[in-house]
Amino acid sequence: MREHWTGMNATTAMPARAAATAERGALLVTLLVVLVPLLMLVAGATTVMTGRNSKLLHTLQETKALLAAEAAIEEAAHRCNTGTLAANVLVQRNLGAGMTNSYRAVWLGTNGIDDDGDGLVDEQDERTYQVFATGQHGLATRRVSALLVEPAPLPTWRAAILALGTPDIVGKGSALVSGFDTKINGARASAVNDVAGIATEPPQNTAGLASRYQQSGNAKVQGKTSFDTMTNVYDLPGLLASAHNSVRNQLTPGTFNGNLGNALTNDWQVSYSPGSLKLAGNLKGAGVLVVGGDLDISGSLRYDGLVIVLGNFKMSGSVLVNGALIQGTAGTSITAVGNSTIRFSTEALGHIVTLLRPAYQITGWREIGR
Amino acid sequence: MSAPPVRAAAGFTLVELVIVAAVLVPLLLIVGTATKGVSGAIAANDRAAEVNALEERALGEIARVLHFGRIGTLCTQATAADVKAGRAAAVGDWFPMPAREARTTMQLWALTGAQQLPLEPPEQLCTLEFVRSKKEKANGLDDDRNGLVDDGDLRCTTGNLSTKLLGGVDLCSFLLDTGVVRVTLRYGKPCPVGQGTGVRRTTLTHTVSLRND
Repeated sequence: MREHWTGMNATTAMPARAAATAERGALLVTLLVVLVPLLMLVAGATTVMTGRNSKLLHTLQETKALLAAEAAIEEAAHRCNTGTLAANVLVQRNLGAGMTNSYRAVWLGTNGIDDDGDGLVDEQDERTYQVFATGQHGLATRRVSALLVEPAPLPTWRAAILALGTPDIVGKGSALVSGFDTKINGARASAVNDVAGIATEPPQNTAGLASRYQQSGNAKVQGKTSFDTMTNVYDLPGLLASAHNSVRNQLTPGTFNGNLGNALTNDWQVSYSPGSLKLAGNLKGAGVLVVGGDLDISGSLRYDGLVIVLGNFKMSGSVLVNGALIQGTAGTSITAVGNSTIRFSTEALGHIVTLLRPAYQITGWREIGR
Repeated sequence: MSAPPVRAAAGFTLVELVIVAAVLVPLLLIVGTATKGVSGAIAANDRAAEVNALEERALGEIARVLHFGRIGTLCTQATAADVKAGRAAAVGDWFPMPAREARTTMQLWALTGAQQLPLEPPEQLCTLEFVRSKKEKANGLDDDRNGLVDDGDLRCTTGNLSTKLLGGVDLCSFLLDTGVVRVTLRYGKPCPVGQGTGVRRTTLTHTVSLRND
């Protein structure tokens, strides 16, 4: 049997090898024909998906990096309010999931630089931290800067109107600005607390203030003196920080026709409009009204307490502001016409002290060096 | 005497070729059909992704302008209805943006990243507006026959530089709501020649909080 099989192998060995060689070629061709289109498909789909994923990943990382940077600012603000923020110290955090952030706070109140460009160095309204924060996620890095404004108490009242800039002041008709202390019910209070009609702050002075006043008709500015100057620069940004953190009525800029509290019912509120505001009609208000732009009040509105306006101020009709008005440095005009009145009232201003919550305000958000 | 070596047969036999053809032809047909289908799907997917990406990029630019903008300076352009309501003196005037009203224009001051006085950070005026195509009228019709109704461009002007963020926009609205602005964009792009008919549309809505007063 062994020989027979050997014989058989001897006669069939060569043709079998040749056939095998030919089949190997067929397999290769078959594989190429089938696999190449498949591979092209896979490669195309992979390229498309990879490119898209890469773009999506980049967008996601950029967004997360910005959020991480903003989280650093929020942490710095929290540390400010708890008194644990150290100036000029780099704080780094690992937020997990590949996100990190870091921040450094710089105290502008004592850096020996005129940070607000008003010609004064390290005055009260520069009591602010500037925070530089960096957020990272993957390959994305975003940098954000913000200001943390220290809250400030109410000023020592020097006048019914405190104009911190250099506005042109116009009094027409029977408009009255009075520094004589008056109670909420309109009765005359003790003369001990009387103040000037209008005051400004350094580097402005009383003479300059008086020279910008234009009076016509029976309009009057009266008080302990008509015009005066505060002894120190007032920290209005600090007061705004307090007011901003105590807002009850968030007003949309434009025209507003509702009431904002009422002194006669002991309802005192903090109201805030980030932009210009018009108040018209027979309205009532009491507390603190902060207007980030221009304020135009008319009709028979009565407001008890403090009005803070960062832009121009105009009152007309029979408007009555019983308390005080502070105008920011950007304001260029104060106009009082008709029978409108601003009169100083320590009683009304006494009610707003408890309304203001002293807390740092985050402002000046901006992205730097992206 | 030894037998002469048998030479291997060159090429394939007819039977082999027929078998291979019988197997490969249906396979190739299947692969070809699948390739065509998948290619079409990829192309359609690509168009959708491109439309989405363009729109997302435009929204990203809008978000960047708004995020560091000052909400107190937010304005919109007056329409005839605004003038009638006494909000503005004339049509086209900028006035404080009313809350919860969809608008097609928006203007505000936004803080730049420039480092100057820390407490007086520089700002620039930014305008976002939908500008209707000159060939289109606000009549609910596709006047220029591009498949889009009353479409136009979304433009952003910062300082003196005006740029087109997105063309082919047939819906654009900005809505202010308590410290945030909701931006809605509907963008359409006609299918390229030979890749089907119609318009690929995407609508995206993005909410941006304004960080500064």
